[in-house]
Amino acid sequence: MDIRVKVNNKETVVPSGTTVTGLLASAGYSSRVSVWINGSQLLSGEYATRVLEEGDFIKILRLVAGG
Amino acid sequence: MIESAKLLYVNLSDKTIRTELLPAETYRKYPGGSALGMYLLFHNIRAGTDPLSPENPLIFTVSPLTGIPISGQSRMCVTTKSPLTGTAGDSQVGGYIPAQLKANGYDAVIFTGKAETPVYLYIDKDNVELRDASHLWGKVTGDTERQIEKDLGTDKIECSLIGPAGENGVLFSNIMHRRSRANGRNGTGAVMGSKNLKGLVVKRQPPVRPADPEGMKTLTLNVKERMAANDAIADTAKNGSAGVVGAHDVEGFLPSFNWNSGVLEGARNLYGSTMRRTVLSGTETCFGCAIRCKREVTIPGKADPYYGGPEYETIATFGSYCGVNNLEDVCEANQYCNMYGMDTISCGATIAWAMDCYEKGILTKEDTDGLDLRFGNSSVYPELLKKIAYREKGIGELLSLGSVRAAKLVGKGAEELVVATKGQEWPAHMVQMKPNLAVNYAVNNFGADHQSSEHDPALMAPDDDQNWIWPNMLASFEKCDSYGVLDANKSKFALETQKYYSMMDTLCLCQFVWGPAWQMYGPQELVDYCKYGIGWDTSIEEHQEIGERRLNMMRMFNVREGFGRKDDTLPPKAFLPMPSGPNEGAHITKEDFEKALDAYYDYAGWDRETAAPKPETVKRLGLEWIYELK
Repeated sequence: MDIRVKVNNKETVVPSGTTVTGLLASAGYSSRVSVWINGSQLLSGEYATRVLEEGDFIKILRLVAGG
Repeated sequence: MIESAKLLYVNLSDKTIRTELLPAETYRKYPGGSALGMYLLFHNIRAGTDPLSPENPLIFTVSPLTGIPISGQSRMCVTTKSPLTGTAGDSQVGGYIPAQLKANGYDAVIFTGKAETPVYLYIDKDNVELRDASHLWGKVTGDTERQIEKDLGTDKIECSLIGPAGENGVLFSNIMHRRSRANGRNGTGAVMGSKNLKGLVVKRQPPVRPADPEGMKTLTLNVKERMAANDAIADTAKNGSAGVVGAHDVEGFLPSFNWNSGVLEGARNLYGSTMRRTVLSGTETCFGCAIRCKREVTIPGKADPYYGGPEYETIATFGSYCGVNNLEDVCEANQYCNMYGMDTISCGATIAWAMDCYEKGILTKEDTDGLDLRFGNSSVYPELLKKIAYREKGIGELLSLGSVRAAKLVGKGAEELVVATKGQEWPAHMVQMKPNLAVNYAVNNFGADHQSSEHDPALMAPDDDQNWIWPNMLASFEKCDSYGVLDANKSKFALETQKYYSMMDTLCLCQFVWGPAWQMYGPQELVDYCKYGIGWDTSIEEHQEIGERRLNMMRMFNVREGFGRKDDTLPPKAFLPMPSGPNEGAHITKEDFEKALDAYYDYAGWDRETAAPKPETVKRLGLEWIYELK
């Protein structure tokens, strides 16, 4: 079964049970990101366990430093 | 502990060479690198000196930590008055010569005067001599190095050299080490050329030893695990600094078409991962460093690995800035810059500015010696770079001045297209994405620089991420949850991390290895390194004060030269909303910038109107002696 979430304002369909880590992998992000769900920032240690829910509003920002 | 520093004075005019000891108590306040360089600059220059006159000293410095085998410690600073900016000039190089200068027993080499004919300085411990370089003058960097090795009958040397660009006075010429490492910014190569000084050559010696070898092992033995556990470092090892190309591109913040856009079609061709899969033929490193971020590329007929490979900044300036997505042409441009000895940031950015002028009809083929300078036409690079390096009359001579001076000469609206501060072209990090850099680019004492403060994303990191934890060891900051935010929190972040980076440029540390956010070693580990490496009991607070002192010295130098708030500015393009891409519309406003600037001055203890350090700030940092100088 699929659920609908919004990722950076974009409607996205993911399989039920998808974790944040799974979402990041499927969307091509590295682990060097910050993630907010429904306005609350997650700890990086929660990425592997936080399961997405129908209607979640997810914001992902890349941590891009110098070079 | 910090011992006294051994200074080597070389007067090129009368060919006298002498050493002097800087007392330990003084050295602890200005412990190497840029702070020591500024201390020596103040004592060897008068206000208003022409940067290309014999009266401008050229100072090479290392630090008490340099050469102790651990990643990221082999850096050497050059300090002088910059001919590009007119400010205090400052630039760092990595590689092997920093560790070897220290292994020869010297903490600083101060060149004064001007040689009658071309020379280079040769150092083999106490044997220090000026040698004839007449036969080397005019040679590109790699040929010069090979000839010196042949003359000396050994390759057991390390060289920092200028190429034809420095000899000819290109205002963004640099000093090259091992053909691909540069004291790149601020036109230090032109100062060296103005002195008829072709190079600094040191004989290789056994490395210096740490005070506490067992303690050092707590930092060095687990280096592979540290690298593997840090995604940013692992990516740097894998893709070099070029790994940043992709990260900026996917967010639409890759400065393109002379900063008219953050999006370049085909930018994937320029990714670090693309370079790794195509033209990369090897990697290189600096003395004692496990990361090996330096690239070597091979392209038959275009690029020889002897001259290394492009960094992120070079890929951006000769790539996206110019609307170019041809990696091979970028590699070729990188090689020419390394051969002639030119800063790839200022050079590529100046060409991008010229292309913007050409597209808008401000420059025509009559002005460009017939070269078609439209965006994307990288086929002009070889011919154009030669014209610039040799300052050939016409477009070469014009662009050799850098974009700010060239725009003033061209007029017709060309100045509106310049992207520079204090005369130095901007590096490739967009302030719409990283607004704290707007403050940093504006206030930085030697012109816009991307390695003088931490970048904004650290303020977005999760609470359990070192990117958030480490900066908050310096001061407490508020979390930020979107791009384009420029407020007092960002000003505080700019200043506090600027102090830290300033300290790293003083202790001569690589900012890809040591730092306050994503790097391999953090603030407390640096304190440990100081203890194990040289027996120096120090603290994060002392490190911050060292960095702050150096920032204020530079600011006082600039104020003495007539700089002020009027020079702490951003170019018009800084305020353009992103015109397209995933973050279309992201921007900063002039009003927010001015407020952030006020906040920065307040945090720094500087006067809002003059942008000069207040007397109480000067006193707190023990810099009253500067008032006594002429």
